[in-house]
Amino acid sequence: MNLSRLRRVALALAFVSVLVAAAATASVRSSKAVTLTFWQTMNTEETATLKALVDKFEASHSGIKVNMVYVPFDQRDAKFTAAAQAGQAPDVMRAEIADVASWAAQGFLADLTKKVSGADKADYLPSAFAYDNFNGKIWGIPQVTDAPALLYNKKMFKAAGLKNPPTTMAQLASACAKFGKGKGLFIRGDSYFIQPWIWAYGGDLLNYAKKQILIANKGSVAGLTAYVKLFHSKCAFPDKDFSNDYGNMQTAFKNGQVAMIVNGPWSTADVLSGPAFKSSSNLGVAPVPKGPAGQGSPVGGHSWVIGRNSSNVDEAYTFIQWLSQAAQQAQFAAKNNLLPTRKSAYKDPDVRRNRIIVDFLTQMKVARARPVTPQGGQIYADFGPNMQKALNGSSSPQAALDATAKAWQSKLFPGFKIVH
Amino acid sequence: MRRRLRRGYAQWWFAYAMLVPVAIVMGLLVFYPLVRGILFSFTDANQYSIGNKFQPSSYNYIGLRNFRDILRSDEFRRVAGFTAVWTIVNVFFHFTIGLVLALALNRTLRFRGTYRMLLMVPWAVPSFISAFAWRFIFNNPYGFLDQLLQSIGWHDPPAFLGDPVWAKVSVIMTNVWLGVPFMMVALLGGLQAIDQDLLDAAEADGANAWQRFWNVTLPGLRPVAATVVLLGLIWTFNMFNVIYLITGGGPADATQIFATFAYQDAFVFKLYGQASAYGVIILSMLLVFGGFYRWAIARMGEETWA
Amino acid sequence: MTVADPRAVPTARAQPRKRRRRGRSRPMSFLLHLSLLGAVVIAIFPVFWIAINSFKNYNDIVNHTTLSILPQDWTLSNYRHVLGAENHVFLTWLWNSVAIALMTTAVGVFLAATAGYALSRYRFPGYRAALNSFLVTQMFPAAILLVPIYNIVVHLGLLNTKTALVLAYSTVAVPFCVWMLKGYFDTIPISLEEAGRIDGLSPFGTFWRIVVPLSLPGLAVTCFYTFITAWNEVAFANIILIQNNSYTLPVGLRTYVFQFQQDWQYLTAGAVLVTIPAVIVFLLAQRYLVSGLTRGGVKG
Repeated sequence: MNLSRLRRVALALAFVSVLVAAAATASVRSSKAVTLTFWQTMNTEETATLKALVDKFEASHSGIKVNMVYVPFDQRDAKFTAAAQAGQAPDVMRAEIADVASWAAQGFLADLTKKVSGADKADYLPSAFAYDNFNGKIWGIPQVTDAPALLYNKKMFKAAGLKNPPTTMAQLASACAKFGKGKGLFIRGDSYFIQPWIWAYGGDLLNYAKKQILIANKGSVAGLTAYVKLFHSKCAFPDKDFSNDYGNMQTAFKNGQVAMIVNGPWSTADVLSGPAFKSSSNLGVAPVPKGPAGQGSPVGGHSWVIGRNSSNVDEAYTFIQWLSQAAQQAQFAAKNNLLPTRKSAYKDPDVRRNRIIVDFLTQMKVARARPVTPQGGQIYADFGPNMQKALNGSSSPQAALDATAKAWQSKLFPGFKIVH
Repeated sequence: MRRRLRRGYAQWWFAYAMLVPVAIVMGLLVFYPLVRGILFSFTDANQYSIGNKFQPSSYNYIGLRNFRDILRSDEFRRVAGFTAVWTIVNVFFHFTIGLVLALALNRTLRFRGTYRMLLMVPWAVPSFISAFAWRFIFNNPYGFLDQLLQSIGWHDPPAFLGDPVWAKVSVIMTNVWLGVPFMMVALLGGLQAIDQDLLDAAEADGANAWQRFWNVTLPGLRPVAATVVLLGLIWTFNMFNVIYLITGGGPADATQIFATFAYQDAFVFKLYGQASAYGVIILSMLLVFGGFYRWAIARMGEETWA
Repeated sequence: MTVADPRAVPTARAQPRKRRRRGRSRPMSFLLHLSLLGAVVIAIFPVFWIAINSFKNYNDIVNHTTLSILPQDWTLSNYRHVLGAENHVFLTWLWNSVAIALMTTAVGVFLAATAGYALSRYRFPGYRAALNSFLVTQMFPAAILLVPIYNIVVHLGLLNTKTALVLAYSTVAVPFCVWMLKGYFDTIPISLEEAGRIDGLSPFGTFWRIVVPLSLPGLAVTCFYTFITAWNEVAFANIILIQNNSYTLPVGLRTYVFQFQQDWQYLTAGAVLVTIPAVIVFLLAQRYLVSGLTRGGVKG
């Protein structure tokens, strides 16, 4: 090897080693940056707020990037469990409260018991935080809590001569009658939204502690009967298409075609975008009326959970803990009228001044919690079709609820006793 | 003997070689899942017991209990009833409307090519798009049909997707709309393959249009018709998209057919054992039916399937 | 039934005999055209309805209690939103659908043609079983196979990949195509291949150089059917694709309309965009559909 060749070889080696060094330092630098996969199921209005918060988080936490993916709400269970079984669950997921126990029971969630600080535990609303505890461990932190309430159009009320919203079921029927044909109340064919009537007439769904199925007892039947009667009354908006009736209900209410609906805080941003609610003070929020034997509305909400196979559990927890801080929850409250899940957030002046939130809080005071069980989310799958049969007359309320009770017993809660 | 085997192998190696790719793909994706599905049908597996990466499986073998429960249940009878109605009514209309259109298109006609192309549009449009389109059209009160009926004076139009009977009519209407083009095209080709000489001879013998149709055209169509009707029956029986996307099986399970009902068992209730049992039942029914159908066709003296 | 010239591609017009043209009376003609027009209107209306609504604003679509067909204000904002949303994710969905459909067509046609040829030309042991198994696999409701196939896909590490879908769709489309192509190959006289063998071609050579060019209508139908099957499929794609930017078009469009959100305006715009490629493929293949379906295939 002559000298020039040697020089060339040396130069080449030097060049290569510089490249390698650069690559090595680059990879060392990039290995510090973590990217979190984040699946979220919020509606359009809430997603806008969320995106702004995610940007803010990334700006203040260099080294953590968040890849936010939208998953339609009704596919969240199928998609999450499919991914989790393959070990490809996202790092962070927005779970409906019933999902937490179900996914934890299948082993898909990361255990957060050691991560949640004592201060946080004390600050979370107990009713919301209860859903994140299963089998003695903590599997998530609460994001939002809600319950459906009676939403009404104040202008239409004034025109019909009504000063205040109805507070009892009897008042609800008479108020509805004051509006024209089909303009009073929108009754949906959805079993989640019928629960206030079940509770109003003395019925219930389950007593988990006593292992009892109560959906077919006298009170529940009375509740369903009253609901069916309202559905067929002249003042009820004709709801002919149950699978599309959520959209139809929102459209009708937004356009001022119906005076009262039952819906939750998540829908208020959509409602306020409608022509009848250009002035937000026109939207009235009142607790669902009480019946002869009780009152109630189902507590719902969402939690942040972390996938079991996540390789970035620490960063993921940092992210969700940040999202659930009072300042961030106050943003959702201000922009989307969502109820925070921390006691400290309710001290925020913006939250305190938000009339819609204050009104929903009145509903939350008489809301009823659902049992924390893996099968909690599946009870509506059988309840819904049976209830629809009662609504369209192909089954009596008693028969419909009996069928529901039997289905729950055979599919979800074997060993429970059906109480009549 | 060995020489015959060796010759046999030498003759057929090419055939087997051509079949190997298909055999691998189908074996992996059809027969293996089928076997697993059959095994699952004898268990009580659900989402909590099926086991995954993070926890072992914990389901039990329960023998024929799934099958007993399914075959005894009211739901099974109801779903079976509508599946039969759905299949037969759909194929009936597919065939008759397809035949009428094929007959109309089998003549010299101005714009014939244009008519034929436009009539095939339902086949070209993706079925999930058509399903959404029809779902939108059937909406009360904001859909086209409701508003059309209201504008001509019918102020309380039926609940196309909400009433149990109307929902059945609506999904059948949509599937007929979807399926006619295929039948029309197949029957058109069959009509064109009918020997014109026979028709000329019949006319010379004094047969009128109806007699020619009944005695020459229909028998001539039989091979094509037999095949497309069998295909149509199988495809309609298993047609999942239309019902799932328009009514989801509702209202209150009124429009469930076996395919959608089994899907719901697997993906909503996560009762994998039961859903697999449904699958086995569906497959057995189709096999029995397919065997019977072919026997009937063979009896009629037409081509065998070889 | 003799086949005069295997090269002739029978279209609807080519007919060896003079078509008898009975003088059709004027009213009959009018009636015929009227009924065909009626059928065409029914066939086209839903597509037209989707298209016309894609140019309307959301309020214009849902707020009417009276019939309104034409938009109050024509707008392209729906298209802009669909194409631009989330960093043009729609284009990614489009690319995914195209790639999967094309790959499925290639794989499916290859599998169907080879298998169909083998079944047509060779009466080997196991012939009957193979033929029957293709018929039987057509009978499976795909919905039942979803869970087992999902498990296999996971085991192979193919979740969220295009490969998984290409394989799944080929499985669904191939049986019908094999059946059809076999019938089509049956109508091609063996004498042509024997001539080829005498000229020194291998078995594969006769297949590739003689049989395939003569089978273009049948192959066109196979391509069309496989492409459309892959393009339209929802159930498998929904289960196997779990990341937003691996979605195909049907799965992506479903995010616009589901129980709690009914963005009909985006759905209609997306639907129009999705239908256009399907219709293009259809127009390319439609010339062959009539002959390809019936000349060999559908007769068994």
